[in-house]
Amino acid sequence: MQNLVRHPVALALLAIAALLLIGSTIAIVPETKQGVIVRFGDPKKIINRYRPNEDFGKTGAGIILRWPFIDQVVWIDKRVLSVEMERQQVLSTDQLRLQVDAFARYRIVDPLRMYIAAGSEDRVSDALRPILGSALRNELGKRPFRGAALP
Amino acid sequence: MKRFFGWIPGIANAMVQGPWGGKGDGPDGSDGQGKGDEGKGRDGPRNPWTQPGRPGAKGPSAIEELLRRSKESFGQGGGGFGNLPPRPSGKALWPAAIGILVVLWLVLTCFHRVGPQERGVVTLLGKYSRTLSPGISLTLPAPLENVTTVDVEEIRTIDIGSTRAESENLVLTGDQNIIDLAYSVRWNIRSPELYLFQLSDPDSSVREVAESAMRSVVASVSLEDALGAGRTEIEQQVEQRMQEILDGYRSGIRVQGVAIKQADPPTAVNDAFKAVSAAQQTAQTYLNEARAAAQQVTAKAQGEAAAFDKVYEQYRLAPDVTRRRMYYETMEGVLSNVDKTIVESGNVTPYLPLPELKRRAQGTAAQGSATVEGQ
Repeated sequence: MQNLVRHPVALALLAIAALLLIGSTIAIVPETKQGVIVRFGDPKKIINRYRPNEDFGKTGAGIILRWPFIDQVVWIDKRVLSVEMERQQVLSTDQLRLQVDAFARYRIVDPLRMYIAAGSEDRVSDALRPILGSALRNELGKRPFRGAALP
Repeated sequence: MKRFFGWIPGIANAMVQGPWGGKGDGPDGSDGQGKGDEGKGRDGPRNPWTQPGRPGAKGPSAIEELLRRSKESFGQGGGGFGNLPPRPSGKALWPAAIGILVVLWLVLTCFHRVGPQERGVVTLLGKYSRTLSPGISLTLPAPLENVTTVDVEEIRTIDIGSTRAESENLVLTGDQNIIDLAYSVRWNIRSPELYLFQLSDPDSSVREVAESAMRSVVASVSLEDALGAGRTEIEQQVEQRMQEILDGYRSGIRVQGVAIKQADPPTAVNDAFKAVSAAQQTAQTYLNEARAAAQQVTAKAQGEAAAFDKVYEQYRLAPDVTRRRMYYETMEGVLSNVDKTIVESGNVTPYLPLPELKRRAQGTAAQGSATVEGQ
């Protein structure tokens, strides 16, 4: 220890190493995120998973421990996300054209499956957009113009 | 070190008219004057920072002294900690500096001032712990507890569509008409923690929810209602619907109100619309005029009938007298405006219409004449 105090450079290096270790051991989970702990590509655990109608402060948010350098945390948004569809044309059953503007709101409730299936949030919204578009076309295509345009 | 002292007074002197001195870069040539000053004494414009109380003092002022010292320590430190003062006793100064930083950090991150219109949401290591009320509050220092202040009183406004002519926000009404709608939504934050943690983009959510609520409400009313009479009702319905949807998201947002600023037919058909309403108004005007005329005629007829009734009553009482009086009255009406020649009944025969001749001679147009046969 005496040696260390005498050599501030060594002390600083040690402090940095300790900080790195702590930083990669401890992860702070915010309320707005859920995560999957991945060990060498293998998803191990879900943290702060979304459950409907839970109160903030009683969620899984907070501090967690993980194995440094081995465990990786994949963060996934826990909030309500939105996907917007560009305006597009849909034909109704009576062959009339409708310009349709749509948006969808969704929440990732199973981060593990989302991680396996899509990998990241951006890919989820990219994947949702065509699904939303085709679902919309299917649904509106079953209706006559009046029923599609008006309630 | 001697070397330094050798040229430092030189620096000091140069500093006299240096950055703060007689402003060497002045365009009025004060540069040369300032330089001359040094040799001559104290005439002309002076450096405002030198102290006039010390006549002839070429010695450095306080700033110069500081500069000199820092120069010295710079020289000593050999380019190390240039800005730190020299160590007084060879002991390291950086623990003290770190101590000051720590205190500063504690003060800055432990005390939080929350304004009267704000709430502070505290997260303890990412986990929501509590919401701060207005005033000064104490929390744990920064990495442990974080405070996000949210303005809960401020009414935010979102405008959808615009009243300008070039941009249109077309909405379909229940009777398959299209209107150009511009409206604004006022909202504020009811619950700061829900607002922060529930929606990824609350502001645009409010906008989209407002649009979809407005469209669904307008699609259930007729064009007439949307353009005029039903506006208040539409606004209320949209507000209610938006609140339901946003509550469904648990967004922590309260919709304060929806105001329709403009509801017009689209620009392409606006002229036609105006023409139609003008025509409707004209039709209304004609109807009113016709009604007025009809009333007038009816009233007149009724009056005449009443008058006839009265006369008939009198006639029934005394038919002879009345008949005669009516005859006289009629004759009076007929004859009052014509020239009359009164001829005695009996055997007198007029053979020469003298007044007629006279009049013709004067060239005036012949007036109608009447001959009254006395009874």
